Amino acid sequence: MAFLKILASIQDALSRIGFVLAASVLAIISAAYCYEVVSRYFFNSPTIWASPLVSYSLCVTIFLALPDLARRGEHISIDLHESWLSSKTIKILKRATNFVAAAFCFAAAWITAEQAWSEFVAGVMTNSYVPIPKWWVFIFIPFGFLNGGAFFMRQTFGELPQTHEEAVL
Amino acid sequence: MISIIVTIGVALGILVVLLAGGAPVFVGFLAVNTIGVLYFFGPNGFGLFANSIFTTATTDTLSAVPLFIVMGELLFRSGTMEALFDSLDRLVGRVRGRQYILCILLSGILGALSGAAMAVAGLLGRSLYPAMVKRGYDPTLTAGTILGGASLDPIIPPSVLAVILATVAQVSTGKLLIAGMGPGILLIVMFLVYVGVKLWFNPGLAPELATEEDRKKGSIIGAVLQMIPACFIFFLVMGLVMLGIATPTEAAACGVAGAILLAYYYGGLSVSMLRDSFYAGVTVSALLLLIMCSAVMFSQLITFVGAPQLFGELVQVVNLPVYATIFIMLAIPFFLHIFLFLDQVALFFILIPIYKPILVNFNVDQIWFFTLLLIVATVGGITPPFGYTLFAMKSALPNSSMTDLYKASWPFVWLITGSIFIIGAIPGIATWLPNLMGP
Repeated sequence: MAFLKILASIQDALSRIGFVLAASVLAIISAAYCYEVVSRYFFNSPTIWASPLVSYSLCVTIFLALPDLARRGEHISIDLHESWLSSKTIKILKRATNFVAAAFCFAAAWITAEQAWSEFVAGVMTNSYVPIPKWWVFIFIPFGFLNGGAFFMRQTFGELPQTHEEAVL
Repeated sequence: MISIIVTIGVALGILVVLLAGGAPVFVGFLAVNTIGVLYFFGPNGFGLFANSIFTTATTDTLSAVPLFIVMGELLFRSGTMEALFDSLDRLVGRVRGRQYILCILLSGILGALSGAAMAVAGLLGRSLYPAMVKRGYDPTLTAGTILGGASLDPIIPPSVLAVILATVAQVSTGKLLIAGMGPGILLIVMFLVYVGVKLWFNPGLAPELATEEDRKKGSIIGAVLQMIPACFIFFLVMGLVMLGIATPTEAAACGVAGAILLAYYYGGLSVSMLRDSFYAGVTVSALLLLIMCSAVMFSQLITFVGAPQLFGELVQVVNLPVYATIFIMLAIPFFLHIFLFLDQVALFFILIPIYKPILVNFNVDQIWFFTLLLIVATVGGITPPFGYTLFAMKSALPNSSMTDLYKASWPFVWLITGSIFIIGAIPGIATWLPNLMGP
């Protein structure tokens, strides 16, 4: 049990760090495109790296943020049934949907990890002006789904989501 | 034909059951797509699924989504809103029902800055509604103007929903963003006229002018000057797109830089404010983009089973006039949104692959049609009984009953529906500005 608690606290820390990194990458996206506009229109010198950097960064941002969103229970969902059902039924339903969410996040993690592995083995490069090994970006997708799935699994057993105060970074 | 309908019905059934049960929307799509890929292609199709997620997550036009959200967050936290409210308050002048006018104009401006109807309904519900009711304004009309005003937000550029719709529909993001301008102004005018007419017949809906003494004093020129810095951001973003200087994503990035400068100008810039804005931007945009990443495969599966061809043939067999077909195409998402609780983004993924060939077949202006679809998706948010924005408003007003909110929202639902017919009859309202941009 103590080992599981340590694992859970490591995962919590990892998700928080991932979220901060996602916000930092978003700042990089903004700076890169501002630089591109200024460079192109004021110095007639468009960059070749801004567009690919932004594309790769967007993927990194989404999937680095996913685990922390799952930790905070902040996903877009429909909760109209909560005003019609008893609190006991809502609890059971929440556990069931969290379990389903965990199962399909794990499935997506496995599917995307397998693809990332095959991209790595085949040495596939991205199709852009600045090609990089595709798995460098791809790897963030299974990371996000795996960690997100783990948080949904923890919520299935009633541990999460945390209170708002705890959830705010 | 029957097998296609059964397949789509089963897929939609699984999706609706999961979503109605409270599963996150992106999980609903992950589930349907995993099962669908396994059913149609076996495990060999999983590479296709993985690549659809990767391709969507690396679509650079979608970077405009987090950037517009960060821009809105920066403007909300920087003191810009207070400056705008103060200016509008002075500009509206001494007319009966001035707070209704202020509420509608403020919603329009908030829409230009944030683009999220639920957020604006919640914000104005908590702040403006209690103040107006306390001053003697009619609670129902006040709630209605807030709901109607909030529903302008996804229409008036820059709109996050328009960026998503343009990406899914593969039309020009810049043109679809700009196309929202005409309908947005039309709706503001319609709301103002409606409030004016209501007050004309029933002056008791607003307090006497003499009782409203807390109006901000100051010159009109001063008020206009005070608005210029905030308007600069709007024209920076939309001007760059319209003049062809920058793509919508680049313009959004410049908007973020401009919003930081504006925050500095208003004295609201700080490390914590920047951090909170970027955190909020990441949270909201990741939630939306995760749905997109998970849902793209659903559109591809719908295309794979032959739904677009089937519906295309159906339209040819039924042989309805173009306008009747378009009316039905716009009515379907409205009812799906209301009765199946389907999220706007989810609706786009389900319907657009089916609609695109029909639009091409009828040679319909796609910017015009998708602007109408955007308005339809928006009006669903305030339509009783299950509009999302109504619930956001209810959470902001715990003492109001849902019946009161339904009563408040209906006139604005009809006004927005009326605007759809007007824009349908006069496409130039939506297409004039985008056409100025050239090809």
